[in-house]
Amino acid sequence: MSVANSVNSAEDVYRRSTRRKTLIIMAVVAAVAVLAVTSLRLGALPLGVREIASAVIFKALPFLDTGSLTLFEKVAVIDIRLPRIIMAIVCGIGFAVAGAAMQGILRNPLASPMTLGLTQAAGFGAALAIILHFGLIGGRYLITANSFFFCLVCLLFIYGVTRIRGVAPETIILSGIALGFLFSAMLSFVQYLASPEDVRAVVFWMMGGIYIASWPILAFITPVILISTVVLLWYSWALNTMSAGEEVARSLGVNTRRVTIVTLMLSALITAVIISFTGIIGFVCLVSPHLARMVVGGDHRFLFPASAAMGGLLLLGADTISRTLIFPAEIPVGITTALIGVPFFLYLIIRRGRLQWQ
Amino acid sequence: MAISLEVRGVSFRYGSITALDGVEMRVNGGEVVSLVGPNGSGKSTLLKCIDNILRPRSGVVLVDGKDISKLGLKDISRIIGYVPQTSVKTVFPFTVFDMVLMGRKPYISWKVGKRDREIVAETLAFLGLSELSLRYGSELSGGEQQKVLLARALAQEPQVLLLDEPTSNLDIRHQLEVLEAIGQMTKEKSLAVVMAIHDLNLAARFSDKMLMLKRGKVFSLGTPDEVLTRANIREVYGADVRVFKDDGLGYPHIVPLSAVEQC
Repeated sequence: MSVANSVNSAEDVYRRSTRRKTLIIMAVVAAVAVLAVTSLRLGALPLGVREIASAVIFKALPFLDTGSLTLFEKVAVIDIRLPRIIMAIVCGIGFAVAGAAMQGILRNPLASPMTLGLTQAAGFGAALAIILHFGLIGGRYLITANSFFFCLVCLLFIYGVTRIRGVAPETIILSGIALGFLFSAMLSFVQYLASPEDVRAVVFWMMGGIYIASWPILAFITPVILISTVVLLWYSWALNTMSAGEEVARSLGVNTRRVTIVTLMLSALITAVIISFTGIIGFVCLVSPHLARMVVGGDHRFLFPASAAMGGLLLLGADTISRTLIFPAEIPVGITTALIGVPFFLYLIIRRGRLQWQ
Repeated sequence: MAISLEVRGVSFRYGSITALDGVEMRVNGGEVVSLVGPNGSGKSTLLKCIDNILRPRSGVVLVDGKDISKLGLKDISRIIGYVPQTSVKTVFPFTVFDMVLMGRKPYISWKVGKRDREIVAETLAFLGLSELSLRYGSELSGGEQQKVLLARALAQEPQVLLLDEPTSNLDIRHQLEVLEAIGQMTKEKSLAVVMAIHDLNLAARFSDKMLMLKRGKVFSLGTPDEVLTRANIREVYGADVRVFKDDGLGYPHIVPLSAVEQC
């Protein structure tokens, strides 16, 4: 083949591959939309697509109310199911983006909020609030504020270590794991002292759930996740070059130190904001980026959107099953994600010939 | 006008260990300078200091008379391309095209332009990698991997090219292919090339000048004929060799004989 021909073909081949990736991402997004509508219909009060559509229109444009819905239907859709479904999608997106960012920057396929000690810190914070009723702010959001605070403490420790020892992935992972052990030990200690009812409450919180969803909570977490995601997406190129090694990234003009710290802090912030409301849902964070890599590869420009869509799909699917399977009871979503996700993930690991990490 | 690269009195220490001690050299556009010397003599460190990946303790690196430590990371990355010693294998999957496209990072803020794709495609074609565009790094042979690393640096459109052992682990055919490609680019684009290399015969064959390092100091600098002498190699490497010159090749070649006591 002549040189001119192979230039054209390489370019074409590449452009076709990026178009394919875009289509895959759009397909997953469409799947999320379909699942969201399906999920809206399911519940104590099964609803048709028409009722749902009019309820959503009523919420968005109240003056167009046609009066065709009962109050009960409106409440079911607008104040119970809709926020919960959006919350599941938003949290799924946040977890997945945070996981992709952590794995990318630490160049480690096992990286997740657990690796950084964040889930353990959140658990300890929540336990303190539940058992000792001790926290920064009282009231409804005592548990949330407390677990968020301890996530920040954990993060500050890791940041401190990077200030002293540099930003090598090994340093960050080791200090994160060590902090994780520390927070779990402290969690065990407060549980050891607590009454059985309080321990039960802690355990329940740790299992995670989206049932807390409400419009005010969404108004708080959505902007944080959105802004962080945009910044992380902007770092896609830097993250790509860093996966070729820190020296290569530097020689390509990337400020590796700044990128590492900003990426870590933002992904940790996303996780902290979510888990302090929902409790611990670890699996989505770890797995969504791997699922995304299997279909779009490692380029973060495609990996972030693909992971986000996968995360939304995964968590919404799991939460829908959680709230409908053994209705009227609920299975904590942390359990459902792992029960469904792990066999599926193992299947992919075994079946896929080409493993997506080395 | 062709570029010039000057290294003036560069010193570097890893903790208390001196890695470079007052290194001076000059490379003009269109020239290949090989860095030779035993393991740990400071070849890789010198390359990293030139690319500002490591900051020298003292001394300066000048490109066309400008101190590169005064330039921003992005500006440096548009002037200097660096081919590391590491493999192309990444933890997560990247295709050959993606990896070479990373070389366009200094010019891309977000969107990949037509020109970026064209340059990548041309570079791949130049190195005979077009067919492998969508292969993953882990699926490549050693020679292909080395060419991908080179392609990434060339896609950067640098004026100075730094190479760290571009031929280690390659068979003789791939060694020649890679070095010929580097030689061709050096002349075509008037690149100033600095290449750390272990193989003295390949160094002699493909360089205009050689710089021999011993424990971080310049031991000898000059043409391959001047640097590759029996005495120099004995002194720096502690190896006895026979040097053949004037046998019509136009460059010296050596045949190793035995290890000797080093002074």
